Amino acid sequence: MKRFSLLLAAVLAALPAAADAPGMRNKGSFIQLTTRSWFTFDPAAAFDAVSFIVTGNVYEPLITFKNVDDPEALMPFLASQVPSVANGLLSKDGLRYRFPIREGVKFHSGDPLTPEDVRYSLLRFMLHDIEGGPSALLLRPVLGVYSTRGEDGKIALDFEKAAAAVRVDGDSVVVRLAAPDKTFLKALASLPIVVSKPWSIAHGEWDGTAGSWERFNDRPLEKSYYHDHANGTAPFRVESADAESGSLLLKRHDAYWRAAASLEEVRLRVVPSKALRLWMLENGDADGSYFEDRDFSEAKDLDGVRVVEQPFYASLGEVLFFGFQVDAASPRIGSGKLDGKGISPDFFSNPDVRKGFAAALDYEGYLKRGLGMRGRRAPGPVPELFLPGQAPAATVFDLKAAERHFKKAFGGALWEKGFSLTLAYSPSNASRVVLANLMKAGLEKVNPKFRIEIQRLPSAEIYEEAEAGRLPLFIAGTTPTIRTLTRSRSAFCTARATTRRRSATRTRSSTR
Amino acid sequence: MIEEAAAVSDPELRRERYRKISAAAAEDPAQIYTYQPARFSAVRDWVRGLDATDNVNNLRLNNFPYFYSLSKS
Repeated sequence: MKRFSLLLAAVLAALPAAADAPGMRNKGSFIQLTTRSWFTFDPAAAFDAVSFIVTGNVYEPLITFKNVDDPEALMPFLASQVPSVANGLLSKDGLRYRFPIREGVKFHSGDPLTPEDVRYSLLRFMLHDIEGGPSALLLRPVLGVYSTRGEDGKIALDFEKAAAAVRVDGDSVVVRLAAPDKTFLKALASLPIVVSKPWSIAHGEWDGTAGSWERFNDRPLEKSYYHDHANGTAPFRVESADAESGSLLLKRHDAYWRAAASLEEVRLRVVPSKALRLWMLENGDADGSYFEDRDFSEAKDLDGVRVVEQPFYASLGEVLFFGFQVDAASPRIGSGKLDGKGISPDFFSNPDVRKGFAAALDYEGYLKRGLGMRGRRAPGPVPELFLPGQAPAATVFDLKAAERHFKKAFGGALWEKGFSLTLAYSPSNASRVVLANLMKAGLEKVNPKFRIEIQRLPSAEIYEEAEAGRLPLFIAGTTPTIRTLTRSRSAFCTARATTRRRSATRTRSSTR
Repeated sequence: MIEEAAAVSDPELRRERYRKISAAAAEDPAQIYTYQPARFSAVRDWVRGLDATDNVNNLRLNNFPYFYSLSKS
């Protein structure tokens, strides 16, 4: 009987698992397709959707969202508790947050997570402060500033102030805010940024001291060791990466602090062609793929493919960004004057110009031709998920209203002389082409002297150009990278600060 | 206005402040907002765990997979 059992066990082991779906390849390996490569692995700089695929699976936050559908409910992650007044970890004045750091967590390098690593990571995130990057998400609540630099671009932050605001106390990290801020915890929950201090120093990164931080402030992305290397605490580690070809291999972190992941590895592949992505998915050459919303009807009809519709989450979709103060030498503002052959660098500081543009856009045409009718009008800078009950979008497609605004702008000179400027977009989402052309068509209908040239730029270049202040008008997909109001507030504030250097670029969010 | 709103403790009062700010932003647009897209995920039918709503590490809001939740069978 025993021999029979052994034989049976051997036969069963030799058979393929009966439950596995036909056509499935390599159970432990997951292939995800995307349309473009990532910008950076550096968690203090990552600020776009594809980079987040990497950082969000490689690094971890102190706390996180309990349920994706509820931005209010938080749960502990690398911190073992979420601070509240009730548990005594948040002071009654709402200023001091204590985060007990979880024990038994290991980085991919094998180093244990310490409170000092967490302190270092929070300071690093704030102080590295890449122009147009995410540092303001913590700088604002913790230090009460949006940037470590002043209007002149020079360092304006006192290191000692930052060091005092984030300190280690026993097994905890204590953060003191500049003012009570109910969005601070949600900001933290959206930031997988915890890195190892010793590993950073060993690889030439900031040593954590006052004497050297300025050297690491606003560096070009590629100067950071973290740009193309990673060492987090999350379920996957970077095994190999080639940004040029967009090929990335993540391997399971076997010493993960929760149960190890089911998947042994994840491969990210860049496949710009939609037709090829559809074919690869249907053929079983990929397990998951990114598609635009407009591709829904094609994806849903593929054999063996499951589409999961999601509610209207945090994404604002495609946004047209104005550059309030454009570099006078930018070729995209033509003559640099309001003479019919260009625009002045501060053209979009004029509210009537902005209102005229907003009224000249055929929103429903975009919904139909750009999104395949799959969208809901964005109410404003804050997505509906975070702020239910907002009034419907105030701006409608109305060429007569656009004409009125344009006639008012610049004392009538704009209407009389016309303008010429370049609108830039990145081609990783096809809906942007539609949006750009609708904007152009609307404006040219209002006044044939209004001329828009459309320029297609790679995603990375869009941001480089925007950060350099060389784009008067550009389109980018926008998911507020924090699912709180903080980001939108930041964007709103800075966008309104019309005199501020490179103001429009601070609205940069997650993008495709 | 924005800083004041962040400090308001009562969630509903805070949201009300933000609604006013949002309305002001719509009145004088700093950018042109278009449509919140109806997103979807596309995976092979052998992928499990796509519906996990916990421990998402923030990624599903970006419509990108948190691979820890996923498996194949």
